[in-house]
Amino acid sequence: MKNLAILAIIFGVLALGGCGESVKPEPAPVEDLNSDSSGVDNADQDYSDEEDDGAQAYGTGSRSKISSVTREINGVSYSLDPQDMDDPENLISQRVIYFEFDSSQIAEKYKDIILAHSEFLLQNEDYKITIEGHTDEKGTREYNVGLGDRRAGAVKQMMELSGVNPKQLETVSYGEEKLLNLEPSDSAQAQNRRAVIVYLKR
Amino acid sequence: MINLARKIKTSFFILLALLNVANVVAEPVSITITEGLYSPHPIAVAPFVWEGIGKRPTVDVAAVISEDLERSGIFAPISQNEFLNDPSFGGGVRFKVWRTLGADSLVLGRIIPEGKEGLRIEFDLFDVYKGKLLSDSYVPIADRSLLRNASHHIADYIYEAITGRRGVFNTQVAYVKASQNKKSQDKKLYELIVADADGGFPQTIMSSRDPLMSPVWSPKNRKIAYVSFEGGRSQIYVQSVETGERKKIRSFSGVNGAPAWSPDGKTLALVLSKDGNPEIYLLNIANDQLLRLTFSSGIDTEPVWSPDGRSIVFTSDRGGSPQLYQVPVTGGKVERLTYEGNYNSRAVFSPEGRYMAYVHRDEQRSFRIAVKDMHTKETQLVTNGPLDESPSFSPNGDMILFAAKGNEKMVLKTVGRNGLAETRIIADGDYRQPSWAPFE
Repeated sequence: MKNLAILAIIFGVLALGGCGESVKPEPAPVEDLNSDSSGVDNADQDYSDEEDDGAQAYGTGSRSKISSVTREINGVSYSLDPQDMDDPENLISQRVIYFEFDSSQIAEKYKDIILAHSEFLLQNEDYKITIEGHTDEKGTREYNVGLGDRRAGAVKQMMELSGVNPKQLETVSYGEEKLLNLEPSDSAQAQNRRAVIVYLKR
Repeated sequence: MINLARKIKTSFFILLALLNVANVVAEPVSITITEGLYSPHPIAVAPFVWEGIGKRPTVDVAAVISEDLERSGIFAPISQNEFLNDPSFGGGVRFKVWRTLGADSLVLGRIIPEGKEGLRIEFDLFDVYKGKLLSDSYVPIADRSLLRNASHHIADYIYEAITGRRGVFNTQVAYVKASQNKKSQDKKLYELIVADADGGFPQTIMSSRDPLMSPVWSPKNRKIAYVSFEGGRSQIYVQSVETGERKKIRSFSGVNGAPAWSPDGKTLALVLSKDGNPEIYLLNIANDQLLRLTFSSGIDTEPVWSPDGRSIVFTSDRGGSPQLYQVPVTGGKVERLTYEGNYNSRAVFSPEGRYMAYVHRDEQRSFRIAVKDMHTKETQLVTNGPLDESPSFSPNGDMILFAAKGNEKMVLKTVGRNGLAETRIIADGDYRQPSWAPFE
């Protein structure tokens, strides 16, 4: 619950005088951030490294607009500097959200990733993303396009609720047209049920 | 002589009546597997005699005819290996011998050179039981390259002579082929292909590095509507098969998908998510006018027109799982059509309207093609799964073309509407979403 409080605070800040509206951290129990592909790996460590929070001066070259800011969600700090966006240590480098079969509900453990990207987009308003919705091979193809659209839409909606300008957000659903794993096993098909955040070149 | 000819003349009125029945809900829902109850018509197609000088043509006319007839699920051709003697064309036919083999019908034929390059294919169709010649006819062709087509023509002729319904062996199909680029894991090549109904003579009419989806033939004028993701977003195009000329349909942000032609070809039903989630719309092609038909917070997709043009059947998860629903084209009350199981989607009607095929997930979580007889209300599973999809009726309604998962890739298969004669027709790559062209 403490974590939720932190989340809410971050949001208050994020919304930049957005009068605290909109952000609705669901009162679901914050499980762990652990596990599989989400790779929020240091989350289950102790939270003692919170001091890292201090702003770091990154080389910003000749960019006109910079944001050398570090933020934190649930004890995971991450950078909002575009130069760090592909750093595997940085939460912003995580861009895949996985879903259950025939579901477009965002699991608790992926919300931090989405919130981090929301912050990034708020901080870097000239960045745009396309959120791709994908499904597994089960079910019919156009229904899966619909399902992928719902998945991408769920991510988009969460970002909009965080205050991100809708103009920075596009969605496209590929349904089952871009499968990552063709094996029929349940675990393989689970890798196909995803929304992917793709940053567009500025 | 043959009680196969179940002509469905009254289906139009039956369907109208059905659509007006408000209590579809109250009807008992039954899915029964009746495979094997249907007894296909035994026919012997003897090898066609070559009466020319020199090498005989490479196409085995009798084999092509037999394979065509067999795929319908309505005929059971007798293997040439079982023939007792080399049957000869014309003259005395020993019906007793053919009866012993169990043949109800017999086809004898010969190929005669005509002119410099031409051929004349003559064939006789016999009722073995009555010992009677039903018809003698011939097909002339300009050269040997047309022999396969001529064989399909003869199969159509025999099909109609015996069942009373038009054959479909000389029609065409469209489908999407995906090929993996060997160099780049990411980039596939997607092709929209038009081919003969048995998979022969494939012609690519559109190719793209981005996905192509959901091709569907217009009711006339040989056009195909499809979805293309070129440029990283989905858009619907209508393309002429003959000229290749294509037109982009009015598009919106989000999903533009699942096009479906009205029976008169003037309106497209389609799916747009511009208003937040996938909904069914009707687009008047001539004036671009858009009418929204569905209003739910879930997924509404895969629209298809009832053959009378008065209503749309579509897939929706508004009840918690994907099921089929029906709504009048003028908008209004939505009715649920399917209750059995927790996944029923992608409906399609047979052209004369009596049957509705769709994808049903069974208790073993296998996706199989189901066919509902709108007259008797009985539903039959006609394929075995585990991952069958995209059913499309043959223009005579007797067969269903669909995509099925093979080992790792999708292949295209046909099956008789009665669940017999499931056959792979195209299987050397990764194929999706076949659409059977209407009769010309």
